[in-house]
Amino acid sequence: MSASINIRLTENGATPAIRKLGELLGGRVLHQAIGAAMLSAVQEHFDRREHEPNKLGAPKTGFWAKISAGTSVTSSETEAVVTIPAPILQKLYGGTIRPVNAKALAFPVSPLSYGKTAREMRADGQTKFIPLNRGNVVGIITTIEQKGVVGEVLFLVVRQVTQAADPSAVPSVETLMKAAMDAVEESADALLN
Amino acid sequence: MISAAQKPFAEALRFASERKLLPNDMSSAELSELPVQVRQGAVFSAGVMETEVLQVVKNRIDTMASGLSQAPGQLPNRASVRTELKELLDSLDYQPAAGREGTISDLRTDGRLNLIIDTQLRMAHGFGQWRQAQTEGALLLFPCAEFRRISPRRVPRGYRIKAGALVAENPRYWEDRWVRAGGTIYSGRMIAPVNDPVWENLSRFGLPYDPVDFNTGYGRRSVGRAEAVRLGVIQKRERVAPAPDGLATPAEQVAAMDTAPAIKRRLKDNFRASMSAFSLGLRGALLDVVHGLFKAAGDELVPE
Repeated sequence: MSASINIRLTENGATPAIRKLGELLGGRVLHQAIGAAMLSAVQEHFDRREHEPNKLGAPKTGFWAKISAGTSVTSSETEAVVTIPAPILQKLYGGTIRPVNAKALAFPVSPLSYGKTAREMRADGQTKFIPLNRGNVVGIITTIEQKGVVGEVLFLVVRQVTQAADPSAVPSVETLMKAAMDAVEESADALLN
Repeated sequence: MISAAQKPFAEALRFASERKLLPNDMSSAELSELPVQVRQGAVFSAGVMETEVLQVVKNRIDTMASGLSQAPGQLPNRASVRTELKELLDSLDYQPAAGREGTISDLRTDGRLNLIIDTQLRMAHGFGQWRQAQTEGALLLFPCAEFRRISPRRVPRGYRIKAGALVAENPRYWEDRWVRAGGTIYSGRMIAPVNDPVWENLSRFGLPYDPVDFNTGYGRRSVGRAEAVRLGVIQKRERVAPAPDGLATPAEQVAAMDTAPAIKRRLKDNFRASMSAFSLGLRGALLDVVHGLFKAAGDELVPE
């Protein structure tokens, strides 16, 4: 799955300048232009998110930059479609993630484990699993204790994770539509006048 | 309307999936001599002779470049691919060169594996972004692009860490490099027409698309026609011509290799060594993935 945002230019959404440009260029080229404008607006939005610090204060993994780089655009005579890579769906709608090829999920809760997997840290001999079996929580994974000092908690191991929806993960269709129309109209002026 | 769809990033996927494996024992500097037509059509990393490693990188990058996932959490990411590669290296009993353990040349390190995964994925995405900027409509509306920071870095180029603090050595590193590449700065911004030679000149890899260097947080962003005209980058009704496809055909790759006979000889030796690690049954598969530059003739590998 990926997330698609489809915009079809209707008579209501088009200013006289855009309609004139559409008559001059034809539907295919006009929707290529609208698609390019949507892509630009979506990438500006992801760029802003990329510059926000992450919650754990850990080095950034570049999640939003990858989403931005992976966003594509296609167009036809009648519409422009921006497609955003799959991980955006979980951000946008939230929902429950369950393990597929494992019995539990480990999610990082420390800057030390952010951007790493529990499996690779275990293979490096850096971690210890402590079973808890309390409701959804299967246990915790910590660093190895040193000289009697309890290790730092790296991962929480759970049966499932439910993430909240983040409606601001992508710009609204209205915002995108306006950004695209403004860009087309501004350039229409530069082309036509 | 926003909806879920099964729609891959076609151009990025095409770039990723058409590439062939290039096992080699060369340094980054030596590999920079590789003709650009071959370099962009190959999956390789300096000194990586392990074809299995390159194959896993290629397979996972193909999937990541498409952007498609069957279910939440199912799309490979940098951490999951790195974990898989570390397990593969263990199974191959991989050993770094003596004295290089823990450095960037050690394939077991996070730094090296992240560099390989990120560079390969960014190349596929960069190509895809560049291609989709070449349509008639896109070039009409966005005839120019700006080179700017799109992702923060802990230690940006032109800075270093001294006593735990970030110290500026050349905060205008990128502006200097832009000008050396033939670029012009407009009101403090690095902007050029989409298909200006500056993009290839700027790139460490000699390619017109992102990334322009390893691990850089800088990249291209579209600049609208009105703004480009206002800044004086282009004239009012100036049209920017689209670039050709950008991916070399196998015949073009072979012709390009003929211009670099020394590196070609070295690659042939690398292939022989890499193939000798495989059972006879796997040789056919290896030849199938080895970048179309060579074919088997008896015990010899000869140019295709």
